[in-house]
Parts: sequence; structure tokens; C-alpha cells
Amino acid sequence: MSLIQLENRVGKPLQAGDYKLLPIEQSLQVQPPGMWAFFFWRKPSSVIVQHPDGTDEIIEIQDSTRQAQLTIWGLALLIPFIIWLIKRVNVRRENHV
Amino acid sequence: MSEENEVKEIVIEDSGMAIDMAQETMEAFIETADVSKVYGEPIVHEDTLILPAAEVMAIAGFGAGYGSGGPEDVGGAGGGAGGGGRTFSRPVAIVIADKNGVRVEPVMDPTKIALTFFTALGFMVATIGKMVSGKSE
Repeated sequence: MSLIQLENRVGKPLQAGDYKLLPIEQSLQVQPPGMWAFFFWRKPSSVIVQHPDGTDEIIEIQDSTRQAQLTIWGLALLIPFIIWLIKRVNVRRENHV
Repeated sequence: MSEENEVKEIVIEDSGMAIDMAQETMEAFIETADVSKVYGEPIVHEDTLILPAAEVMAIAGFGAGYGSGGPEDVGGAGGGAGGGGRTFSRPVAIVIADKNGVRVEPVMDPTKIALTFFTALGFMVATIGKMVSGKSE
């Protein structure tokens, strides 16, 4: 077994009226060889919808909570960096004058 | 939202038994997050099907040891094994299939977002405060 396994897994197909649904999940598994330890993270990634006319549609599953958290942390890192950058430019200007 | 916590501490006399038990526990942990855990049991009501989807995370570690020694007449042997792990699960979205088609409705967790906001705000205030105080020195 490899140390890191990243794969897409297909769940049990479901029939919903005229539609057939195929749930897909993303899986990350870390299991060091020879060690009794592991970590895994599995999340829903998309649903494949098979329409009655035979066409397939992929509907992505967005994790809104995770996106909001990442945006907040991104801003929390970006804002102090911009302030630090402005301060640095001002200090350089003062030194030139 | 569900959260489980499992800790096992056992004392056993045979290293083979320790290995078996650790292996069984590890397999049981891995089983807690198969595809059926990411996508829950579908709920069907008339023409509507609702499929809950959740993120599942788990971490676990186990260890076992065995030893023997002492003089021939009083020599003994012993072994032990222990381990711990944790699984987390958080709802992400709901897939709804009805007469109008199939759509995905996201599940927002306002508590988690609020906690992240205040933690990030604290980090930002502390960082900016450090920069400002650094200037005055």
C-alpha cells in the first residue's frame, strides 16, 4: 500500500424518478507503510445525473462553509500584508527625503 | 453534525493478540468512512429524493509491544497495546432530485464561519498591533 492515496470513488447508483444519480466522492488516505496509523479525508465532489434522454450532466458539490472559511483566512493574511507593504514604502520614502 | 471519539487501552499477554486487535480496530475505523458515510441514506418522499452529503475525516494510531526476561525459574513475559483515534463528520450539501430536475443545495454552518471570523480577526488585530508597536519603538 502506498503512503498517500488520492482517488475518486463512485457511490451506489440511485434512481430518482426518470433520473439516475451517481454520487462521486474524493478520497485522500495517508497510511505510512509498516505503521499502525492512518489519516483519511473524504468529501463529496459531484453527482453525475443521467437524464431520461441518455445525456449525462455533472453537478459539482461546493462546500460553502469551507469556501467562506478560506476567504476569511485569506483576507486575514492579505490585509496585514498590505498594511506592512504600505508601511515599508512609506519608510523608504521618508528615508529618501 | 456528529463527532465520535474512541480510545482503546488494553493489556494482553500475547503479542499476536495485540496485533490482531490493533488490525481489527484499524479496519473498523476505516469502515466508518466508506462512500455510504459520505453520502447518507437517501430519503424518498413522493416524487422527491433527498441525498445528504457530508465530509468525513479520521485519524488513528495504534501501538503494541511484547517482552520477556528474568531468570529461568521466575522469568515472565508480557505485552500490551494501545491506540486512539478520532473521526469527524460535517454536512456539506443536500442533493435534491424531483420533477423539476436535480439540484445541489449547500449546507452552511454559521457557527463554524463565525468562529473562523473571530479567530482570524484576533490574528489580524494581533499582527497589525505588533507592526504598529514595532514602529513606535
